[in-house]
Amino acid sequence: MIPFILRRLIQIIPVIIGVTLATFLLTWLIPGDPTNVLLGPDASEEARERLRQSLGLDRSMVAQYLIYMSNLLSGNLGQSLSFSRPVADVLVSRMANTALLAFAAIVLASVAGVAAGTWAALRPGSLRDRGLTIVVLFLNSMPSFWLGLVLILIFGLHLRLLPVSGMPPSGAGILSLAAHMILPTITLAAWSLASIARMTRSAVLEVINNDFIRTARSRGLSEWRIVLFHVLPNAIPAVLTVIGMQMGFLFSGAVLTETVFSWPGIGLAMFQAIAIRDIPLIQGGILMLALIFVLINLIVDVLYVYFNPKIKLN
Amino acid sequence: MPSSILSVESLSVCYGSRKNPIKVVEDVSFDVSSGESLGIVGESGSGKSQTMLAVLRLLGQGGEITSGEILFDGKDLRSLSNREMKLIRGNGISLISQDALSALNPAMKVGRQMAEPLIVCDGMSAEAARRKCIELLDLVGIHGAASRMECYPHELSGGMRQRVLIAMAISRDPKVLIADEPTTALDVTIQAQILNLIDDLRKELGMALVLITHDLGVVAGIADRVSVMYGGRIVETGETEQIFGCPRHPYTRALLKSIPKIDQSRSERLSPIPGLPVDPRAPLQGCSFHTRCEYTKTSCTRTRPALLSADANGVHRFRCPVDPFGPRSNIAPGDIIRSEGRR
Amino acid sequence: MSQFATSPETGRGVFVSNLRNIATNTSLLIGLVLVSMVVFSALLADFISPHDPNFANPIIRYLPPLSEGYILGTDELGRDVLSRLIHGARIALFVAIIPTVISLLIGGILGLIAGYVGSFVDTFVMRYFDIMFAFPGILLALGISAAIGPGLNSMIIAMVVVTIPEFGRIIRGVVLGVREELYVEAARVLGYSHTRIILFHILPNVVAPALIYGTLQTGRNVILAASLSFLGLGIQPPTPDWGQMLSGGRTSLVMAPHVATIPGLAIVFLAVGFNLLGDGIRDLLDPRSRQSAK
Repeated sequence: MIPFILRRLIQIIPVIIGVTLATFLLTWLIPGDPTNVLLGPDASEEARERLRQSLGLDRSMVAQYLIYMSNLLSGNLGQSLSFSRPVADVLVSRMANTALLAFAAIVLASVAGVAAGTWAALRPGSLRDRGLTIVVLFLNSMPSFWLGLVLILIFGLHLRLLPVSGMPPSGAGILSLAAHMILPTITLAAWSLASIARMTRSAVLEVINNDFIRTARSRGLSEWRIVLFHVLPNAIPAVLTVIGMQMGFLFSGAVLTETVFSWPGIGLAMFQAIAIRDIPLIQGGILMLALIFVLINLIVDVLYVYFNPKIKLN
Repeated sequence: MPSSILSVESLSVCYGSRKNPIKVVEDVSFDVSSGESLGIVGESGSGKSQTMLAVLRLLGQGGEITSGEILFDGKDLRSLSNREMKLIRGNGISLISQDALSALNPAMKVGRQMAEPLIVCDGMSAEAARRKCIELLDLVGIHGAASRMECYPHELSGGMRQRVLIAMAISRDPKVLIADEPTTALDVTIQAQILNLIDDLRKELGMALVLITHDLGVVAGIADRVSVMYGGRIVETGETEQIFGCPRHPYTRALLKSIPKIDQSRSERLSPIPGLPVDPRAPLQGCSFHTRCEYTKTSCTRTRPALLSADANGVHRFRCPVDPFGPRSNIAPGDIIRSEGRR
Repeated sequence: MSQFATSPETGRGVFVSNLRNIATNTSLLIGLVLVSMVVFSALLADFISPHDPNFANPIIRYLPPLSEGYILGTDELGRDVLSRLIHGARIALFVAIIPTVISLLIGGILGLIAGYVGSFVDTFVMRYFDIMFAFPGILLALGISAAIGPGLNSMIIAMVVVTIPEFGRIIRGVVLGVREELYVEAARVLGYSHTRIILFHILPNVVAPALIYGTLQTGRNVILAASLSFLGLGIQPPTPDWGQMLSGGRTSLVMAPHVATIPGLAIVFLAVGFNLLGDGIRDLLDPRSRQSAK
């Protein structure tokens, strides 16, 4: 197990370098004088010159990238225009909020998705199976921000059951926090839930027609026991890959959900940054979320091998 | 004759929708007594496995028992609730599947897999179940049982997996053991070992054995009685010597002729059965074998043959009114017609 | 992806049996109907929309749906929602289909080269794809759009960049599968040119997956484009665009919920259409996947 983890760790180094290269190149996409965008239109010529110097804009691309990397490694992601603070500060201070939402959503999506997918697969072709197929189709065809607005409309504005925006102050207690999280979590989880349910369904269908399920039945085991201990352990590895992918998407999908619900995470900060073209913040946000994505996929790979004894041999 | 532990009476199984049913088993009857062994022989698709799955009420999606009676130990299995049926599986009737690799859960260690029903169904303690599993693995001839219990199925050899499957099947002392092609996935040398093992266990534990196979040779050494199935129906049944000694149905005879014999001269060629097995989606009128039979008469294509007795006490029976091999065979030249399936 | 790597079957027989399959393929039919409805309203927008989509009349702001002359009501500037919806179909289709086509071409060529040439070219292209896959799609698109500056062009560039690796990987998989097939091997042994092998032996196998994944990606593009617009990175006002209509309606959610919800329904409608169409095409061209799915 340990050598495998080490090997995977080494393998992701080029990917991480590539990710930093890509975010670095975003500056290069800015048309015209990048300092115009990076500092805003009101900055003095003196300040611009200072920035050009520090970014190495007058030097070669390679030199610029090296400067970018050395800044990155020392935790310097530049200065945010919209927050007038270092980008790293803004991101770190909001990371926890985004992570909270993303984890709540992945838990919801995984539990509900696996349950729904399994439930449908146990009676393929039945009414509930076809029903799930349709629900999955709609959830996968629905912009999350629109779902969020509809939920706000129904549960917040119409039924007045749940708070619809922001986060409670830190002293408000766990119940208030939970209440504020319900709608954003559902909104964020919807797409992933559908994908996980679909994957679970086909994985379970594949497992359930295997001879060993018949063996288990022929030995007198109960149906729920067979599903829980024989079907799911064999279906989970395939589902796990999807869950891992979705986890990464959830962090980035937070941009839309946080915007709709004014949830003070990285996504909302990035949305506010878009309006005034606060490129350093966007750049930093993308880098951070992409690195999280890579990291999560690494963890999923390791878990995959852990759950799948057959792969362990190789 | 001792009273039978499992008796099946005119069982029929259909797949597919009510409007368009596909009959895979039709009017099948057989019985076995404790300690006795019955071989069921037929090509793939002849309905032999489906018959056994029907007995266990484990038919696949869309499969349904449409008629017949299944009596086990005096109980009518068709009338049992799912919960009651669950209690029969494993300790009343148990099953050895054909492909041991796919019949074992790849994600569960062998020991846990074996012990699971012992603990959850029979209420054994984990320790007692473990001891029992080691005992069983010893019994089926696996050495170093304790260490094998920690293996995953893919870490064992094919023969060993089949032994594990057998150990699992007998773990709850079943009264009837159904072995569905238990040796097809194995090397020839190991096939004999496994068959002898199953046969020894039957004698030792006094189980009734139903051995399903496509290979008459497998049946010869083990079964007391043999039923031959074709196209979802039993075409001939009798004691093993009767079936091998004086087969009465053309299909049985053709099947016997297609087995290579050691004393056969090389100039004598094996005779394969011409044509293809019946497609249950396109059922034939009359005798299901008539498209491939050498002795087809016009009547064979019309009426469904009934079981006829070949001996005085009705043990040897067959389903062929033409009876070309009977003692009073009465085929007149010109009776035999050509049919499309024949070459 | 190797399920596509089958030897080319006789064209005529497949075509006839396909015609028969189309009639029983519900996903395909429904998808086709939904997408064609949007296509027609885009083509005929000038003729069928009841009002000028950009004509603002402050006196009739926030008319509710089913108002006299304004079936779907009016928005924050008093413009007819239905007319904007009908005209918005043009942009919606454009930003869903055009990026798919461009990215399918670029990604397809990259995948083809990587799969056919192999060795270091393959490694290089795949490394590039790996890096792109490290970014969740919307995030990178957001970055590119924001850096270039909002607008239709930057949105399309962003969407193309983000979707290239997806197509590249799929096509490469197909090519790798086909390359090992005997008839390609035979063609190579016979000394056929690479162009000939690629054109006549490999490309025909690429068509089916390209069509299937292209259609499905078009459905996802509908949502991706709407998301970018919603974030303010897409089409700029006053051009009628569903995503931007939706975000415009956010502020009046209490007073006039229809302004935000109706364009969302249109987005769902089109996305469902493309997704069903993609599923339908998949069932049609690759029956094996249908069996495993059902």
